[in-house]
Amino acid sequence: MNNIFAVAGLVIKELYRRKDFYVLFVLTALITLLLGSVNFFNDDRIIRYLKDVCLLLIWISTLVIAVTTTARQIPAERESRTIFPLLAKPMGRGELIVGKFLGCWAACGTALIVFYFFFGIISASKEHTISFAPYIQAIWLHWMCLGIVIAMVLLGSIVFAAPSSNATICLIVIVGIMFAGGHLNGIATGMRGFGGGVVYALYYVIPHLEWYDVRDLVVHNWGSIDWLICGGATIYAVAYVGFLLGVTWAVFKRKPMAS
Amino acid sequence: MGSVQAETYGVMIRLVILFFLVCCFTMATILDAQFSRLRAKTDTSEGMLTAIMGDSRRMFANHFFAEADAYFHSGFYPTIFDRQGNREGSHLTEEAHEHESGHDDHHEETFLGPPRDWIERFGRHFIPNVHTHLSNGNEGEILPWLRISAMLDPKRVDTYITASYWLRTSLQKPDEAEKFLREGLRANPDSYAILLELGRVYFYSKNDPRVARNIFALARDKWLKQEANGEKPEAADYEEILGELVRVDRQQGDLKAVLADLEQLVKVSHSPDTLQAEIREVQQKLAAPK
Amino acid sequence: MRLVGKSLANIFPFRILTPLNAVVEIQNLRVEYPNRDLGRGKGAKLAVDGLNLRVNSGEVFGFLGPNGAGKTTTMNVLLGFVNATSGSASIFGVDVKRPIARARIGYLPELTYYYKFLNAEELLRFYARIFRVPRGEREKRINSVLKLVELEEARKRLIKSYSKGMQQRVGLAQALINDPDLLILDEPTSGLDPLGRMKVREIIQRLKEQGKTVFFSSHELGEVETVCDRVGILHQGKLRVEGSVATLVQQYQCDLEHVFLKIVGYQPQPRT
Repeated sequence: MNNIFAVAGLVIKELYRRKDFYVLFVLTALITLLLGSVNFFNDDRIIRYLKDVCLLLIWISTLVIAVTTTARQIPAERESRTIFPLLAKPMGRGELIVGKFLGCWAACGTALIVFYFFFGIISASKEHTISFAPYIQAIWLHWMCLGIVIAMVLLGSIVFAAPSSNATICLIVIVGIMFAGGHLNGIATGMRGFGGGVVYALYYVIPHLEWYDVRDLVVHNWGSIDWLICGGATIYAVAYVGFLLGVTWAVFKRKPMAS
Repeated sequence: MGSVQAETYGVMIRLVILFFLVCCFTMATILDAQFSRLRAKTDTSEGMLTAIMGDSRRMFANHFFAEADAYFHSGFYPTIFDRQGNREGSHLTEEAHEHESGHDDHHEETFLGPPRDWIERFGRHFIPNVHTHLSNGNEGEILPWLRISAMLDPKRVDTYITASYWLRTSLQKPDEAEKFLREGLRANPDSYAILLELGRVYFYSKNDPRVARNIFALARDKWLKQEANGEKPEAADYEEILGELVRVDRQQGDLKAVLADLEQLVKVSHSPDTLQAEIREVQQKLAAPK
Repeated sequence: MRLVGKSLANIFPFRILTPLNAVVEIQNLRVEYPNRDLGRGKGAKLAVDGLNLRVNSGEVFGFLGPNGAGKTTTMNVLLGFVNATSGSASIFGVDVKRPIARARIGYLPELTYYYKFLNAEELLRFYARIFRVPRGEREKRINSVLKLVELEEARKRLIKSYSKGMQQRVGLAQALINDPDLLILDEPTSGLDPLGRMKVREIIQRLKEQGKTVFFSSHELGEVETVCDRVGILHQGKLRVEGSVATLVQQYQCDLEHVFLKIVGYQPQPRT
């Protein structure tokens, strides 16, 4: 665990020393505050649109942070050749993968806390109240979703050569899953023959990231989800993370590392 | 010799600089005029948006109108996948009418249907899954999207009418409703539908039947003009305009006008029998000695 | 069980199994790379062919050869980056496939650009942590290696602001952070100016005086001649000669550069 935490610490340090997070946070805060200052029909009780926009920006920002940070981890190590002194030390490739994953996940978790703290302030200042349970659940599920995303991008960073192509492909896949993943069964039912079967199989194989997006519940004050359901979603996320990291390790282990 | 050459060189440099200055000044005078013309073209927000987004702004306007509808249902709203083969667009306007007429039948409708598998069943815990409508003054939450929709497509008449309906009824803001409708009228000067809604603002919310009558009459004239031009305006709207005229004239006690309105209305109404009875009643009242 | 710096040597049960003084032992090493041009499974490029090599404790061993001779591949096998097709390699008697084999080595790769968002101190702290150097000793080690590579004044500066020579020296510092018994240096003076080269040479000399084993590859034959106790010349994946510099010079009746050129088969063109 020592090596894993050392690598994770390095990733966290990288994130807070780079400007990506700060730029995205300032941008999110600016847009939200700007929209919050707009007067719609002299009605100061209107808040849901602001919560919606703020949460959308948080989702976009954190996905961008997670994908871009993770996508460059291994390729940057190879490009700058720091992977050689690192692996020349008593560190296994699996430890490196898990360390990178934990670092990115923890860094994104920290970013999430900052973003949601801002969201909480905006929300509470307008609604004069805040329900903690849905709020905590939203953060937790969002973080679990980022866990799957990070594991997926980490696998991509081993498979694809360039970080930019990996980031683009992963973002398309993630947005695709969030947008249409939950409807693939419906699409498959409407299709006939082999194609329908393939789409249905895909529906069962893909990680259902759309579950973790509970923005509508938070924006429209639907209250909290059953904690058991949240636990189920957590187990589902952990299973996918484990599977994806396992595949990443298996692929990485086979990769020749010629200096 | 060398000093003469250097002097000539210095003069040449000064001339070149002067030449560039003249060029810059000339270009500035030409470009400034062109830029002013361009600015005049894109000075309104509509012009600016058209310049930036082109015709796609209409698509976005429709999207934001649908978003308002989704907000009205607190997020319980079909996606494009759920909507396949079902009704198109929003039913926010229908909702407004239903509220007015007391109908609320499709509350029991649901686009979700029974879950097909465990993934879908589990996934439903993370989305709004009960059909509800905004109430208790929360209807205002839909307004930002309607405002944005109108900004993107000022020609979209439904946006003004829907926003005005909620502003004058649940939110009790007739002045805001009027302001928004007048904004809509500026973009759609021939819209009888906006005039109809504006008349309702005056009649029901501002209690000014005289102004309301003038507006309803103007709406009727616009409708008739459009029909005469072969533009095929909505017959149901004409029926509504005449209905409002009947109501306002009846409240004013102008039975002759009521009779005239009813006679027009009976020609287009789906329930002429009831109207015939009303006509007879008005005729009797008019014939009765004062 | 905490494996801490030098004390690691005391708990290594494998050491007693190896012949006395052998730090690196390579036997019949053969490495083949799949030839991508021919397609998968349709041929292979032989990088190292039947290599037998032994580096003894406390000696500076120069690993020479022209580009593509198999030097880096051999080093990659020793560091566990590449798996041998056949044969075996061990460090301190531990098979190189096991990560623990790398606990007592320091490695300086060629032309590495260290994490530019860190300063030298943080970089060394990171590597020291991987070697499980105790917290109390960590700072002492960092101070001593930074002093050795003369980067004390730049220790708080971000690495991205370092010159090439400073980058190379910080690389050397990271290779020394665990106080290794074996140093593997891949072209340690590559790209450095004469002053930088001299400094690196001095450091290697000092390490030699401290009794460290150094295994390094270089193209700078003059440097090898000055620093190395023994050299091995590799050509086309095979070890052509091995021995002390003095022996080779005596045997071939010329300086090391000419020995090298003879072994790789270079024929100088007569001047017209």
